[in-house]
Amino acid sequence: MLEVFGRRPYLVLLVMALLLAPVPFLQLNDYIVHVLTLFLIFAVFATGWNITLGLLGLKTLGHHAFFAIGAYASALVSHYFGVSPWITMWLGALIAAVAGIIIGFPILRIRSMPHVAIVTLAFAEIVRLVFANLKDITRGELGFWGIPPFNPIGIGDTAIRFGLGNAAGSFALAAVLFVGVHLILLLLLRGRCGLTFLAIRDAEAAAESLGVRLAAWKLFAFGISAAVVGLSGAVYAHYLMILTPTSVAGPEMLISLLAMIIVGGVGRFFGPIYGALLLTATSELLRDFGDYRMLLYGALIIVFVFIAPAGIAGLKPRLGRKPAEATKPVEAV
Amino acid sequence: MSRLSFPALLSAGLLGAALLGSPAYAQEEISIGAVGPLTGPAANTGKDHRQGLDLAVKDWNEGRGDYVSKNPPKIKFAMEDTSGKPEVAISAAQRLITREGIKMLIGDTLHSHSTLALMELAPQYNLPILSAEPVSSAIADKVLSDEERYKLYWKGNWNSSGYGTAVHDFYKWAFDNKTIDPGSKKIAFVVEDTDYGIANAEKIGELFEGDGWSVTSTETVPPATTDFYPQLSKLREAAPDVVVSVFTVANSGIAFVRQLKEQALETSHLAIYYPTKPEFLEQAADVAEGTYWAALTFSSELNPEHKAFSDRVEAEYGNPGTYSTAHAYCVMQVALRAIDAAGSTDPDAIAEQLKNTDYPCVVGRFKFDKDHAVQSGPDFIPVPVAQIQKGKNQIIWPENVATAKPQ
Amino acid sequence: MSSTQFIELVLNGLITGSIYALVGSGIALVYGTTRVLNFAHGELMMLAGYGVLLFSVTLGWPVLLAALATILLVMLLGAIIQRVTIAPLMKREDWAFNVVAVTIGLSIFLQSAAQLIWGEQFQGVPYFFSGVAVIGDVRMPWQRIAILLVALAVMGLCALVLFRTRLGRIIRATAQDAEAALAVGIPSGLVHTAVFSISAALAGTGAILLSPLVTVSPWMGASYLLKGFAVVILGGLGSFGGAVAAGFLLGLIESFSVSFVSSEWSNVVAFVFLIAVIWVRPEGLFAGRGA
Repeated sequence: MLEVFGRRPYLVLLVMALLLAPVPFLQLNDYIVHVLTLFLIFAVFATGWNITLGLLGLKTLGHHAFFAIGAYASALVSHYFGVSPWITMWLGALIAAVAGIIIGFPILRIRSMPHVAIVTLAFAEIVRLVFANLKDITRGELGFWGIPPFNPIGIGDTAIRFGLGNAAGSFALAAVLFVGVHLILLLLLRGRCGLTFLAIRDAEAAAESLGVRLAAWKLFAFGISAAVVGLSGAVYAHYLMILTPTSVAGPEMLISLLAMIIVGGVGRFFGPIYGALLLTATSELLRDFGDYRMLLYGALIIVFVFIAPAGIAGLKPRLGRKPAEATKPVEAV
Repeated sequence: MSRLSFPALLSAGLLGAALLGSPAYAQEEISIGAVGPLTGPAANTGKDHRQGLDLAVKDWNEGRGDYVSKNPPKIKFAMEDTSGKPEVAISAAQRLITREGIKMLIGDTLHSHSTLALMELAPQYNLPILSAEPVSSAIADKVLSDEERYKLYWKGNWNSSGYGTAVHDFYKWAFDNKTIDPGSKKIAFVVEDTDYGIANAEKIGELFEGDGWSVTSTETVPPATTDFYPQLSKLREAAPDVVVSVFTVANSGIAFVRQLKEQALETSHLAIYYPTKPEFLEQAADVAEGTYWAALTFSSELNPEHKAFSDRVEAEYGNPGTYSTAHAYCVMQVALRAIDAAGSTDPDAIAEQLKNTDYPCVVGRFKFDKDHAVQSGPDFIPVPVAQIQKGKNQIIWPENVATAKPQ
Repeated sequence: MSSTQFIELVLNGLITGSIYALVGSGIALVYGTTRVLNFAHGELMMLAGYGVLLFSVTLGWPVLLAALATILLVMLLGAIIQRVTIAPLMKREDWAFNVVAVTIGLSIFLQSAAQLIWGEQFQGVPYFFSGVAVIGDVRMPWQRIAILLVALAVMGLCALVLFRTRLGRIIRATAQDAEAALAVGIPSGLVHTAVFSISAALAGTGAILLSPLVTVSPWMGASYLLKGFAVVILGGLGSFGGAVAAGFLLGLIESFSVSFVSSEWSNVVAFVFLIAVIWVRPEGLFAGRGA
């Protein structure tokens, strides 16, 4: 537990919240706020994925499918039925969770890591193709536009507006989502639930023999994970107001998010956040060298696996307190 | 130092460096930005656009521009990469707006889906936006759905319906002429799964169905597909009288034409877009004989004006100019002249001048229609249908510009 | 459906399937012996594609020579990749995921590097064999027929090596129990590298056969990777023969699904089939005999 969450996870989250709080009032230029908003959305995505990848130890490679499902579900319902995005985002999360549980069933039957990886990858490809092919509904690769932004909220005389071009409001929304999701997950995962996940990851057979109902717990983890990812997808859809199947469910989304998690630290609660921040920042730094961005992502993944398999969350400054732990997790194969 | 701060500071420091790295500098020139695909599968076209846009700005700044006023402003130009993705296009445009302080955006230079996203920025940032090569009619439909909202957005290319109309009118002419036999009036499509391919297939299908034709099938394949045997097998069974193929990747087209020939299907074949790429004729000359295609909008061989332009590009950048280079050049000219004529960077004034544009450029006459899209047709930007005859391209329709008779 | 179309669909399915079989059997061989899932397998194909382009088009070597040189080149590259990036990770406790992550990173790295070196364009390779075979109403270019024949020959050769030679026995022994093999004096590290090389040669053969049809580009191998994985799972992870059979099956499924549903749904059909099979028979369709 200590290794996963660090010593004072609530304090860490509080510090993050305090760092984020003043941003909308700093009069930063829109571009910076836009990049920070994307970072927050991707951080939630990465954290959600890390629940199965890092905590449960199921090496799934198809979570961009849940992002796409959440995004498209919320966008389609709000567009066609005129339902407020404040409601449809939860619907998006719910539908993603249901999809997660459904794809969880075949995965339950297999223990081998490659099977899990390939099945989830194939699932993501199916989802991408379905959204691309249902052109009458989604307009396919032409892009689904006409997604409404979140309805404005009035506080006193000022209305907070959302969606692209309303940088401060969008950032505030993403920040609330970010802090909220992480807080709820901390509450959930610091308890029995998280312990069970880790037990399944570190010693599946032992956990089972102690009476852990593996199937139910795994499906539950899948559902939570997919719901979080789907929620981030919904917020992304109503922020950017355009979706294409390739941009949300294509291989580049997989690579980017995988890089964030690996660089940040697989199986560390806060790892993906650092990874998302670092990679969002560097990819913007390298905008002028567009050709080198994916090269860098690839190289970063390789370098981190070799040199720092626990990611930046696992790096420890040389000065400071003693190394706190360390039982290395044993991979259940 | 706690566990949090080390990695967090590292990341935050990098982010800070990324975002604040280059200071905005004093404005004397007017900044114009462009966004388009400079990486990814469409990068070749995007790089052509960059050359065309760049060349127009260079001409303008060095006294060779086609000015409106006596005192034209100096222009600063920057182009950012979209990787062909709408969300990256948005990000890139925002960066140009807030960091470069651009007064006008050329974008997207190629992709319709990116343009559909980018046009939202026009009302939000009060910024005139002119897209270059995107053709999707969905863009024009969106403008018409809320003209006030998109008053600053203009579309520098004709609507995909332009292709549809040209293909339909050409075939109608050829059937009336008895050049081609309409047979049992069945048409089929093999198109790539992009907005471009699908929009064209839909429009052409619609027009043919209006004439009592039936669409036997529309086969959609991923971009850059090169194996069409399963599709051809299906086509042979359906026995269409006309097959229309649309690909933006030349090699898909080369493979398709080759395999069509191998399978010896008895059908009239019309190709859209890919024969504009020089490598098509280089690699498929042996199998492409007799293929009809649209649109021969740029030909160094047939048009001396195009030849002159291509040579200029070659002298400047070391590679010949293409339709994309020429079109981007013209779009930038239109943009620069509008800014010059407006006499200020007031967005509404620039939009007003864009609306009044009536300018003959190397690829044709630029004049916007009510839906904010450049018009196509013999009087505007021509959409000629060509045929490959004896290994060379010949314009066969419309008759007033034809260089050969169809065979 | 006419009988001509039926025959065409079967032929097309077998030809596409033979490439899937080549790619899949290579992945299966590596997985069966080393338990490594190589996500950079597609990029070995891509590199082989550029190899053919270099030797046969740029340097103008005869096709056979160019093909041999290309295969040797990718075998060497495969060995280097295995030695440098995969072997060092095998000692870790959680190596399975580490290897997947590293090969994914390697895959995207090689794709972008190829894009920087050779550019984004799709480069054509001329047909090695000209002419079209006409049997009744069925027309099939010799180039395509050659794909099927060469692929069968190469896979046959591979099977012969695996099941009839000393090297094959050593490989199978290592696959069953690397430590026990080591105990009787088989250097399992070297065997792993050798297997990787053979797998690269299979991918390279696929790429050489395909290059005149699909053209060479940085993304050339990417689309075959997921298909290769699907084939490996359908065939029963690690089974060479199973992968070959599953490759042909997947090719046939795709070919027929194009004619019954629209082209854009054919991959959906193939992947749904994959997930359905795993649900019902996690051990694969043709499970049984090991590598």
